[in-house]
Amino acid sequence: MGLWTLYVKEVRRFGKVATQTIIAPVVTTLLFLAIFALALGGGSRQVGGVPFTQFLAPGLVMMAMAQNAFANTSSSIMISKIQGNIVDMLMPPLSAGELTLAFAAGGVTRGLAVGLAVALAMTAFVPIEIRHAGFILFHAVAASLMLSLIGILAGVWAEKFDHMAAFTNFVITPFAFLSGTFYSVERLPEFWKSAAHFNPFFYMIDGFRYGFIGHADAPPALGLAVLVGADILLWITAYACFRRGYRLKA
Amino acid sequence: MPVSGAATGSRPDARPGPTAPAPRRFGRVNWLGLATLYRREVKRYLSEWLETLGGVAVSALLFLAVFHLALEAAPQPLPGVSLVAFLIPGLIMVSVAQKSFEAAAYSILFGKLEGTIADVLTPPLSAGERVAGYACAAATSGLIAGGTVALALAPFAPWPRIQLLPLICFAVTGALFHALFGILSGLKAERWDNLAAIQTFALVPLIYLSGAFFPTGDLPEAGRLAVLLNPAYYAVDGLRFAWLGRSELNPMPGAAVLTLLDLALFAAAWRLFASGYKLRA
Repeated sequence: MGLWTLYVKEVRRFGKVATQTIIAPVVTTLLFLAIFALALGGGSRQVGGVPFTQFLAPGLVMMAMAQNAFANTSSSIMISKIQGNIVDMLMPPLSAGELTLAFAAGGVTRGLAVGLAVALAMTAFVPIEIRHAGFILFHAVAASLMLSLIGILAGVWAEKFDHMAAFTNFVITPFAFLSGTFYSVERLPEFWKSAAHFNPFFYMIDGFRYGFIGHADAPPALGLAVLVGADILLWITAYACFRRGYRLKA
Repeated sequence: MPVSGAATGSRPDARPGPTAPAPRRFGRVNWLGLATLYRREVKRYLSEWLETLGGVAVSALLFLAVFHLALEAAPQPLPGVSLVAFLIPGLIMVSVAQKSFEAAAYSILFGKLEGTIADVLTPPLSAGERVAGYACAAATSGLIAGGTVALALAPFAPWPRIQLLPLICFAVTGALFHALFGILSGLKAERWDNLAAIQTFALVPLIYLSGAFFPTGDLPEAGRLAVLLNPAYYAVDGLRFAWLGRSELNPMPGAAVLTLLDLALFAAAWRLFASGYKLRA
């Protein structure tokens, strides 16, 4: 009951401003698709066995999901902390595990809603086929969960909006941009190629794309394992934060 | 500033005592007030300079890297100009545009929401001086961001053949355009949501489809027309001319278009400030 209430509050929070939380990412993502398609200058390059835009589309959908899942939890916690109404969540008889679950579920819901909206909008421009629905679904959920949990941690850690902006600029954006959304990591020089394999964002993009184009840069099973491992690790960390009240309780 | 006890005129009862402060006198333009507003705004922007400028530089570097990696096989965007060299002036102008807009819009909206805009509305500044103060400060912030990006990106391409006069002309008119656009948006918006909507649905499409990231020569007729109606295109293309000596258009008409637009937006912002649009109860 308490868990459900907090979850519904989290979903209403972004549902109320759907123009900003759902439509805005659709517009931005389509712009990205447009500039890459235009910059390619009509060249018919193949990446991973498919035309470039088909390679790019799943990555962009995943990027939008990831960014919005992160934004949902991080901004929710951050704003509650600054406005002081975080006590409304800490006071009721909700355990640390329930808090983590409610926030994370809210972020995952936003991630999936955005992903669906962006994917539907893209079908107008790029032929999208589904090869492995299971992979698509798993990576959509696991990646949204991962970013939601990172968002919880960032929201708890940050004390000002500037901290959050810095975290987004210096951590989230580089990881997301260098994840292989826009290019196949196969083409990177040796050092950077190995570095990319230590980026969890790489696996979520790669596995998600595998579900669409049937080609992956890393073994798909490894991707599943990395995401599950990362989610568990982050879950425990977020749980510990709520448990101890790190930067939440005076 | 000269202070004179006789400033209040000839009415003997209105003459202030020897210790009472007398009104400041200034000529047609309150330069001191204007400079103070300008300094306050630039300082505001630079107070978190490491985060702000670092963030701008990092995202420009990421864009460059991603485009380079994704589009290595793309044809040369301009004859004899590599993709990276083509992108650098585009990315510089994109950051100038974004930061000029943000600096102006955030400052005004924040002031309105917190009520601190009264500090700008009550001093003896004319509407034109207020707009000039905000616009110049926001453009300066944008130019500082652009300079940072230029320094960060320049090592990745052969050293550019910069032409100073066009560079200053296009950087300044482009920055002012977006600063004034930001002022108007900040005045129009009543909540952060409104401003975010303007950014998502107007500013970002304007900037992304300005030809900063792709050559516009191969676009279909309608796309080409849309680009020509986009003021940001003239700023990007003009800056590219100043940076590389190569551009898609003849830069002179572009400079004229930008100057006229700046004047038009300045006049619009002036009128809004003078009428107190969404500023006074």
